[in-house]
Amino acid sequence: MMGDFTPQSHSGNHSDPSEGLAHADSALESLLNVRGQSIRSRSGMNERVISATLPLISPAYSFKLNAARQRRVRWGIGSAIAASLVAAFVIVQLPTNKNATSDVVASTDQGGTVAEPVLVSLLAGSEVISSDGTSEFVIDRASAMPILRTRDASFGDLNSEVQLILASASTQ
Amino acid sequence: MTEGQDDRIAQWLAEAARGDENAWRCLVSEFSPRIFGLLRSQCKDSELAEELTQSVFVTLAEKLSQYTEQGQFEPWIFRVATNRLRDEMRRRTRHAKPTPQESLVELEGPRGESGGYRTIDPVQVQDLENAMDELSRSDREIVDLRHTGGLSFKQIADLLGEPVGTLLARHHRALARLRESMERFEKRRGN
Repeated sequence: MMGDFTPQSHSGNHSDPSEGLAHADSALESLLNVRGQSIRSRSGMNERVISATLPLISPAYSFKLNAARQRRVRWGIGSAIAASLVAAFVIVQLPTNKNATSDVVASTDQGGTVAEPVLVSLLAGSEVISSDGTSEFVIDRASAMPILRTRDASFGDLNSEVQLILASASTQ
Repeated sequence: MTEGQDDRIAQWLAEAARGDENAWRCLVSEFSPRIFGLLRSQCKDSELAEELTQSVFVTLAEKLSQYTEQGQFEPWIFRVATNRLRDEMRRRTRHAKPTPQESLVELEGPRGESGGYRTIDPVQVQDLENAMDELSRSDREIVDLRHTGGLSFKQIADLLGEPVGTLLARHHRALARLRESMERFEKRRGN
């Protein structure tokens, strides 16, 4: 039954050296090729795909696309510069503030640890509260510790120092 | 794919990247039926297959200006197509959206050399479809890439990241399974 089919030519041309090894069942292969050719046909599809995509390859669209790409690149560069400036500012600030952290005063207050403003100012997102008419800065343990850990490499013993502060504060 | 065809595709790509509409038409005419056929055979949904084919060409159009042809265009575009289908089927599974399983049996035969339509025995086509359904997904993909996508074994090997020898063996085994299934169906009908 399957011998009724003769091999069909493909639109793809199989001319690599491996091709010669692959014709063990030519009748079945040719039936598969016939099936493949049938499945590929769909009335009007080519024109629909062309009309939907043709505007995308026009030079005007390419110009817009390139402009959008350039905007994205510029935005990326801008963000990188801003991040570098912030990082540089933090790096410059860290050594000058190191001494201030050595005499941090700790006590429990509203669930946090009161510390020197100069240390807390390094920790993004810390809360400012007012007590006894003066401003104080509260380190939130959960948000501060990861930051302190990352700072530790360039900040000497700060991490262990703060751990001690927090430990003593929590036992009070 | 011969060197001449590679050159032709590279030329279309370069010209289409410069906004040449005719080159783009040539690319779409060459590849959209093959991509559509591959997707249709895998998902059995003509509407979805056409939608995905279109999205593949949208991706191509957007990447055209950055694309450098190094003889890998066919594996690349078919990989985009198969990934797109995989993503869509995954999305449908997540949203419990069924894919209508259309029958591929009533397909009209392609034109023979004389220009007239060739007759395909519908029973035989049905047997072949049933046998294809019994193949594993990966074996079916190889058979489809080869016989519906019209890719060479080398291109399929590039696309799937497998050695050509392994691929040939898998294709051979898949055909043996197809043959076995079809003979079983035929025998069952004879009883």
